[in-house]
Amino acid sequence: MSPALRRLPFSGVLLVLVVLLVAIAVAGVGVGSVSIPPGRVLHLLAEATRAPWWGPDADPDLAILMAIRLPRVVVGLLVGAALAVAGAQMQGLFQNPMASPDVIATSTGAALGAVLAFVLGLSALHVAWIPAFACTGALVSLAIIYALTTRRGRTPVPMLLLAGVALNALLGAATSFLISLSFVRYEVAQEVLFWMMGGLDDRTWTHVLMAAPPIAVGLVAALVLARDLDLFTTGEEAAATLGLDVERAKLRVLAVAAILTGTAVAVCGVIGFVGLIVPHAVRLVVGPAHRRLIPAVALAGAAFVVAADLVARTVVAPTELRLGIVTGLCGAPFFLWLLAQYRREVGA
Amino acid sequence: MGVRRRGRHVLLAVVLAAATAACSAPPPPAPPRDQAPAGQGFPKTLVDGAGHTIRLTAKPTRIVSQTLGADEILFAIAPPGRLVGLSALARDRKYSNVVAEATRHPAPSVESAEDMLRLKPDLIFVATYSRAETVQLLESTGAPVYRLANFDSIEGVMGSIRAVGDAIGEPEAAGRLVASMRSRLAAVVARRAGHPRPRVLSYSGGFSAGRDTSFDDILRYAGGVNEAAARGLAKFPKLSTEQVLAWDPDVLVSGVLPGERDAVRARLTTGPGLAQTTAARRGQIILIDEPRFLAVSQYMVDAVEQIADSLDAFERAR
Repeated sequence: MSPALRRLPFSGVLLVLVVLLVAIAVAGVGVGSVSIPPGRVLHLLAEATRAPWWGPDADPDLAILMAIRLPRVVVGLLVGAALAVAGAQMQGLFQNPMASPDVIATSTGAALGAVLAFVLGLSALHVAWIPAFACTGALVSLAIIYALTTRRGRTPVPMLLLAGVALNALLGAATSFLISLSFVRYEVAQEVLFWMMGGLDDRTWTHVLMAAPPIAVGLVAALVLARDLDLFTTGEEAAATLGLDVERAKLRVLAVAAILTGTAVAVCGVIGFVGLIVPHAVRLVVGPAHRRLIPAVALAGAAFVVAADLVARTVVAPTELRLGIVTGLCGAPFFLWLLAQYRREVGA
Repeated sequence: MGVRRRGRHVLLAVVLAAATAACSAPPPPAPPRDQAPAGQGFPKTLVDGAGHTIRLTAKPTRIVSQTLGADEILFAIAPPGRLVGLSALARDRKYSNVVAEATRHPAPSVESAEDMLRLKPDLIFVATYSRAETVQLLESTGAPVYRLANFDSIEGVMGSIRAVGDAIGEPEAAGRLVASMRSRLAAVVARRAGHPRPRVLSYSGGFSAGRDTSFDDILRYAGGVNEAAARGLAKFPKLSTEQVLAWDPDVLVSGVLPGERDAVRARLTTGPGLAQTTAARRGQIILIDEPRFLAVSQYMVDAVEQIADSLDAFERAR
């Protein structure tokens, strides 16, 4: 990691991330099948308050900007922030650099819920069914894992990790079972498989409305809980002697991470690596303190997902790659590079 | 590997066609590329769509079909009593054009190698995309397995029909079916000649169809220009709605499942990005029942006729 970046004050890092995020978001709404320059974007945004951007009489550029690209970018920002923050929380709670939002099986639970909605034929009835089922799946899996691992009010972190592995396998098998059933109808199987690869295509303002409230609440809650996570880094016993109600704090962090992950998976499918690599990369710049890490990770995660989506829809234009493929292709090598950097720094 | 096989195929077909032409008068129509000419008498040796040689010792009387395309062809040209196994999709009204025939027919549906071998078949039709291990298993038991190929064009499907007819010893019936297809296609082509060729985009569930697809060929006969193929796309690419709006096709075509016609039409005419296309604004939407839209049999001609009729109607409305 560049020493210049590390020397930046925290406010400077946030400013860099905000500028980066705005630049990527502007590119996100401007670049696509029809290129819309930033000036024209601003003009169209002003026009959107007066002219219709829905229906057959709408200006095509206005329709593309307002009905297709803007909701897509906004959902990308929300999902990126949610996954990255949930990842930072999990890494903080488990004190494990390999932890990610998937570790407590919330994304697998969300995926199972969504696939169930597909197989029941609900996906064609209303856009809200998939997110509703996915959120329910995420919360149910959190409840299961908490019930399995909590005894006499205590929830040992290693037990959470192990139960997460087992529940991930169980829910994954159930999802595979449903997918195998869906192959009776090839178009359903196709939808399910594409959804499992994650993507922001055809996201609408309905998705924004569904995702924004829980993610906003989750992000604010994560900021509030950042101090608790910082205390966790001293160890559970030390945190308790410093006045932290350890078990209650664990439950809160798990619930917030589950809400963030479940909502993200609900509106755009399974997107890997965001919750794993973004917190790592940002931690190298701002350090391990969660009060700094959480806001920086939210900005960086949002920028990463919108940038990955930009790559997904331009690299093989006029067709599109699935977003999960791009985050995996970019994320895995980046993660390996980070590991190499870390090894060099510690001399391992 | 596939290219080499196809090359061998073409060479074999050309050599055999030349030999046939030299020995008989008047010359018969050139055999399709996936079929090695053979006499009607049995035993006979054939080369299937994947270039594999199969030997049939007698006229097959226990025929099993593992693909819907073969079901549809067999119901048209084979005496029903000789079919002992049908594909799992034959009775599925979402995809099959022979639901009525298959429902009346006593043959069970087959899916696995076990299902097929249980019926003691003397000829099994599979597709070149059928699972290799299933086909290998079937062949290892000694059952003649015929792989059908060339699903991407009407001419290729006609070749498959002739090949099926030859394999089951019903070449005349296959010839009559192909002749009927040719005559109906010729009528469509004659009717559409001289008319403007609108830009047509297939858009079903976010996927389009470019060149090297049956849709491309169907549209060529129906008198339209395939927008996706014209833009250089092949096979079945996924397109965003904003890409569809950017291309702004004159006509949108989509396959529909039973009971979904209104929902699909609403999506294509009012969906964000699609509502602003010329196709949606003028109501130039063609919805084709999935069994016809996905057919790789003689029913492809039904899709040609439906699209041509719709293009005529759109032209009259303007």
